[in-house]
Amino acid sequence: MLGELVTSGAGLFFTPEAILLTAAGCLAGLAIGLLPGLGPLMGIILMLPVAFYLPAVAAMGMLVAIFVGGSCGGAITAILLRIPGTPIAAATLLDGHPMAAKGRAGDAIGLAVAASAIGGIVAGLILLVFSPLLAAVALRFAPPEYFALAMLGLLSIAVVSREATIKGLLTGGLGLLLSTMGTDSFSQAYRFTFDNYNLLNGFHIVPVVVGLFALSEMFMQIQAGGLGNKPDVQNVRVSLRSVRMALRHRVNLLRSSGIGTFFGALPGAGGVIASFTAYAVAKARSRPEEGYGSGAEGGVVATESANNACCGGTLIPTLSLGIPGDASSAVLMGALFLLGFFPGPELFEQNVGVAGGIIFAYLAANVFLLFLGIFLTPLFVSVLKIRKRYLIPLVLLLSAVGVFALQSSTFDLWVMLGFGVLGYVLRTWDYPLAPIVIGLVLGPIAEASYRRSLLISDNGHWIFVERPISLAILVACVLLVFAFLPWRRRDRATSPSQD
Amino acid sequence: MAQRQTKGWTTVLEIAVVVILFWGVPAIAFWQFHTSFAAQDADSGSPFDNAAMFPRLVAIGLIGLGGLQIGRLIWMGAAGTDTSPRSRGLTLRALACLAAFVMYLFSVSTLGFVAATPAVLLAMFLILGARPLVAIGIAVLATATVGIVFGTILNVVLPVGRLGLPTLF
Repeated sequence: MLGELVTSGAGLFFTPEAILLTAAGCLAGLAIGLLPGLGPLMGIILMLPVAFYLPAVAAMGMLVAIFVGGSCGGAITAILLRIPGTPIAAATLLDGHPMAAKGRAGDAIGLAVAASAIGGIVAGLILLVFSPLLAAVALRFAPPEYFALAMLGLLSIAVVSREATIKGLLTGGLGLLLSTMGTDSFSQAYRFTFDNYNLLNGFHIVPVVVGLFALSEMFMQIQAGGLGNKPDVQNVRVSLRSVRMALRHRVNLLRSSGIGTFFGALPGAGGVIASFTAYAVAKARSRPEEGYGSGAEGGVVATESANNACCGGTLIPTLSLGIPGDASSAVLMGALFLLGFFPGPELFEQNVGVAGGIIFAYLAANVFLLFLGIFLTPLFVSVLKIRKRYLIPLVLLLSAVGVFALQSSTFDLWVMLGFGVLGYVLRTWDYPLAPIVIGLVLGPIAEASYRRSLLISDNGHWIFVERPISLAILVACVLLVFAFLPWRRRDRATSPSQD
Repeated sequence: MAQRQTKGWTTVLEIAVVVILFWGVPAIAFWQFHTSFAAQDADSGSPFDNAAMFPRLVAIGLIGLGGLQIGRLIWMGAAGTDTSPRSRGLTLRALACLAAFVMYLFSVSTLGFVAATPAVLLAMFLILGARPLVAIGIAVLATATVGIVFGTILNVVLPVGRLGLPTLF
């Protein structure tokens, strides 16, 4: 399957349109990622309506490249301003900013970009090799296993992602319930449509996601203040010498990329855990004179290679099992649905070219990241000077026009507004939003698998525990919930931008 | 004392959020099971015919988890929120922007994209404290750019409104 994945994937990806859009996505991702409060998820969400009008591989290439660029862009802000542009860049602060304070801002950014690109390429190669293998195993799965997997995916995000177990489960449940709106695919009954023809297919995922994340984030940004502040940013120059600098840390680079890919492939773990773990391991294995915490090159290499490798790791379960690892990959999975493809083993069996094209796009995005990040850093630094008072209305306009463009429907705009208010209320009380999206995406898979399992079962619900793989996955679900039982610790508030 | 009172109010408000969202939505679901689903004969029977089977399970789970969360809030209280005068001023700006955005949703289908967009953008820029001349320039430029990208390059039919204004792009 690997040979076919490579040949047909290359055939679909190596077109001028797909390559250009991947480069453009990387550029947009870098620019969005470095603006504090925004990030790869916001970038993907804002460009989702545009992707709807493009060929599948070109569209996914653009979105995946935003994911890659956005994951790295936050490092520039972390290094220059001591503010992580995205939560996953928080670990880069530890050594990146001290390097900048010593007058080595250019070296720090160059190292971050080079390490991110190399980490991403390592993860891409792992993705290329392991995805078809995992998909081949998953081809033997029947509805009970799919139901158990969907539950595991949902529980992982709800329970692990923000250390707020009950809140995560509540919002995940809300997402599941919302996913049942519209015409039932089994009985053709109308569910929760309230005699409104706009609801016959339920809510479109784009207005829901744009409302929940983009709209609520903009109102949160207004409340955070600093609308007219112009950050004092030093001018920096980055050169290709950074690649040589990064390669001097090759053991650290490979180890951190491995850590990042591993944590990325675990649903719910994510880039923050990956980058801090890679940093801790690199620090533990370093010599004292390297000075971790006071501007060590190895610290930047470890965190940045891990967090970009995490993107590739996240794509492994997303593409091969249809189980997204985090909110960004859930939206990518939603985009693939919109384009008419179903992530999971069937994608590798029936549309192997599309799966291969996406993997090639991921690899190419990391190559573009290296060159764009190194040569256009001065341009990205100037993006940091945009004041929030101008940025917020523009993001709101893009959100509205993008959502309208999907189906030329003003109903979608009202849905977006409603979910914007819902997102704002939930974030005000620290309820995580990512589980809603995961619930929306996994809901139809979970329900169809659940009902199909019962239809083929001679023994009712026992079918879920009679089959060994399904039982093992369900035991993992139970262990996961018990490991994060609410009475073991208080739900803690974390920054809203973590979503 | 004042801090305890604030925390008390915050807890009450969060309980209200849980009741409205995580009990209210399942309550609507149960009402639908007994009305619309029952009328379509889709609230019982085999897994094939029973369209209420999965949403009912989820609704029951939400009610249980909501109860657990309310119990925790009563027992431990909610985390405080920022109610400083600066925060209230910024909240007012956020609400004003929200109002402008709602106005946009109403006006875009009446006035059309080309008339409603720069007006609402300008309003939002001014609410957020931008300089009027810069705000006008960016509002017009942004409308033209978005119009060209979506209207011309992506062939999206942007709203022309009841006035029938051309989109220009």
